[in-house]
Amino acid sequence: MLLKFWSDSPIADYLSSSTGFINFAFWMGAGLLIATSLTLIHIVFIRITVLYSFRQRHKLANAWNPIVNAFRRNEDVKVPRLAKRHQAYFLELWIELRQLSNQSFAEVLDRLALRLGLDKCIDRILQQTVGFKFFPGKDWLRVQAITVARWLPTERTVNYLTTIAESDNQLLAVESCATLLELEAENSAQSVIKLLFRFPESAPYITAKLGQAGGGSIVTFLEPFLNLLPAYTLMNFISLIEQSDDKTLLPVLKRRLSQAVDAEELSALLRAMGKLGGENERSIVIPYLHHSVTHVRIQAAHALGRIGIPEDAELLLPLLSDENWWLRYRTAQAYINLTKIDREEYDLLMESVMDAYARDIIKHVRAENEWFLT
Amino acid sequence: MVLNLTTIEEFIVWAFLAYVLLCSGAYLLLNLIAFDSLRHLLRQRRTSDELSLYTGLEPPITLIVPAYNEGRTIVISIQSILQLHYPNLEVIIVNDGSSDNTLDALVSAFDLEPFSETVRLQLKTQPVRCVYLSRKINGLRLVDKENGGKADAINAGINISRSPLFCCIDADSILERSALIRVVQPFLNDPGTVASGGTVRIANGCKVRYGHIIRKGIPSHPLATFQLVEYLRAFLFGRVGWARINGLLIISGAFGLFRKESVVAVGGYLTDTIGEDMELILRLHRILGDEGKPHRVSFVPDPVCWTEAPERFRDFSSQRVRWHRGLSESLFLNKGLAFERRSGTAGWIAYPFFVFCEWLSPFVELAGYLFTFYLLIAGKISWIDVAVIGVFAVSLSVFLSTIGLLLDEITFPGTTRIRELIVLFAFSILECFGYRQVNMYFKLKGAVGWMAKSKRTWGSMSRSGSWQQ
Repeated sequence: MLLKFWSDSPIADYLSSSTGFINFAFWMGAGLLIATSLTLIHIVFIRITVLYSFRQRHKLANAWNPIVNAFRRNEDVKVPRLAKRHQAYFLELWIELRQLSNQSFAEVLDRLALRLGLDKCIDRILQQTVGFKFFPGKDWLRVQAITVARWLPTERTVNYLTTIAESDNQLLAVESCATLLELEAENSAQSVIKLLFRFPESAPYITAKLGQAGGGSIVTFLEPFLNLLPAYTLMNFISLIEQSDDKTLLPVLKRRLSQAVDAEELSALLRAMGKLGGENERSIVIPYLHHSVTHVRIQAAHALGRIGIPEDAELLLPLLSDENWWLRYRTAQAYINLTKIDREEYDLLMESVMDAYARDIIKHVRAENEWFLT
Repeated sequence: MVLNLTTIEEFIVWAFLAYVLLCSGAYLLLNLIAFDSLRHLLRQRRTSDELSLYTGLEPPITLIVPAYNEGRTIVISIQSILQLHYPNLEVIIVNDGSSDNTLDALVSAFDLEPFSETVRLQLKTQPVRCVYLSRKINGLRLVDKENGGKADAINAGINISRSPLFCCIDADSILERSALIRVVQPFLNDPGTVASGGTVRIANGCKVRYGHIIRKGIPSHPLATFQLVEYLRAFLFGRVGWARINGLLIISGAFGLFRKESVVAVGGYLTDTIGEDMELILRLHRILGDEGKPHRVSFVPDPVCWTEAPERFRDFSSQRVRWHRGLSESLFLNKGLAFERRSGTAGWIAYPFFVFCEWLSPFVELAGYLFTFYLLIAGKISWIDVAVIGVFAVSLSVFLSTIGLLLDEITFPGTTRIRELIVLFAFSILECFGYRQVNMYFKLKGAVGWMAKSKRTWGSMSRSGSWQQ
């Protein structure tokens, strides 16, 4: 019937009497209009998803805020059942409040969560493989659940988290490891080590996340494995070492420095040496002042400026004439740090230095000290 | 109606159709490639919220801000730039012989003091009058020089910069705070990267406070809205696609990050061309390809630079004439890149595409209109036939624009209001009835001007400065 309708229509008449390119343009145009419509529908679908999420969050927050406040005031309040479709949004709201809460409010929230059976809900979510509709993937829900688990662990939580930490999903694996560290679970160190070797390219993210969870203590776990870590991963952990200010890790750094050949790794290690080391470590740093890679020399000069003694300043003088501005700059800063020269001695130094670039950089660092450090 | 077209006429018609399909197909393919890159980006976003916690060994960046007669807006622009998140940032403002109060405004706002220093002049520029150092802001310098144009100003900034990477930004552009952290990623991931571009979006219609975009919007002026649709369709995601296959031939002069060593090695920016941004990228591909050095030109869709699109017709026309003239000059000066053995995607795919689908397009479009008119006048086609062809052309353009809107919605979901989406869709239809034709005319003017070697001018653009609040 459709075919008959089409064959009787004036459009079919027109197309049959038209040449090939008109037919081609007609059908292409029709196809493109359909494709455009489908694309618009897709845009509308994405927008509905976003709006739905937003509305659900807003509705939930309005519904639960009075209940949370009532709990806070120790009032007797009827706690409604948490609908399954609201679980993800509720978790997000709960996490937001929990992260910002002080101890007393945290206890209130934990009480509310236990009353709602949130701990069992978390276990169910971690166990499940299928998430909710309208959400951008199940990952988001499971991340929420993993985050909540650090405050409401059950006996089975650690097992679930250990399994997820070994999954191929990087986001979930990292979150699980961070939670395991916070819970001080028995196998957390092993999970972290496996994670680092499985996702080396994401070292910055992993470092940051784990740093929030445990800081320098993670590096203690890693000590036996530091020699096996690739240079890029290690560099990110060196930044954690520096943040932790843990001088007990110095032997680890020294050992690694003696074996390192990669310039980036050497730079990171020298910088850490400058932060954590002392006068005893000067002799390790000094040879790197003549390294072939500029960046290594920069970090060596910078480190020596922090841990050196005034007599080491002589070693820095040749570097003041290097063609790389940053090396000259760090050297000048290091020199002034070590010698603590006053204004008169600045002028004497300027006169004694022949190279124009060296004089310039000393002038620059002097100006910086006067303008910004007084 | 049976058409009485001769064989040649029919061949010409099919040739036009084939050209349109080829160019549009290429754009669609680029958008599909861009879609794949965006998926990867969205996945990365979930694990990159702690980007600020890096090793601390990120390469220092010098931000070069060429300024010419920007007295009204330069101080707030620089204050906005100084709030960027990046661990090691140096800012060099280059006052390119301004005749207004640009220099005085900067000196008084940032407590700049003349501070001569010995500099290795790696690139030739107009004479530098003085270098200033700020007593208030560590890492802020000003180069005051004789007027030489934007390219010359950037070269002067390169000479004095200390960092291995430099970023050019227009004085009236606004960078998002995390833009530098994101646009530096390709350099960290691949040491062969020589340049990286970021998304440039139109700021007209956005709400700005103290030099930062606080709410996104679409322009109220129709001319700027047409340009926004054009950006989404052709500039934005097309570049993501090209970068994915290492065929990106242009990074916007408003925002781009470059490896200084590579740029100096190829001679810096050319001062006697009007499309210096594209010309530099082409030259990097050509020379580094010739030398067999691995090089990559990347594009990061995530970081955003906001810039003002011209709302006055005069400014728009001079911009478009300049762009197409710049395209012509850049392609001609680097014709050695085409089909060169070691030029890779840039020489074998991107360069021919830009010649065939970009440079040639206004000529083909004009020829198409004239040929259609001829067929109509000669009675060889009817008005209905013209309408069918017109609907096909419009639907093709609208489809590509809608794909751009979809990719924008995927990348930044929910940031454009529904009313604005409807307006953008409506404008994607309307642009086929006037805007494209006007654009075609200006492109022709630019190309013809280049061929006739007529005098080049940058023109001037009146700035509303609406974000300087």
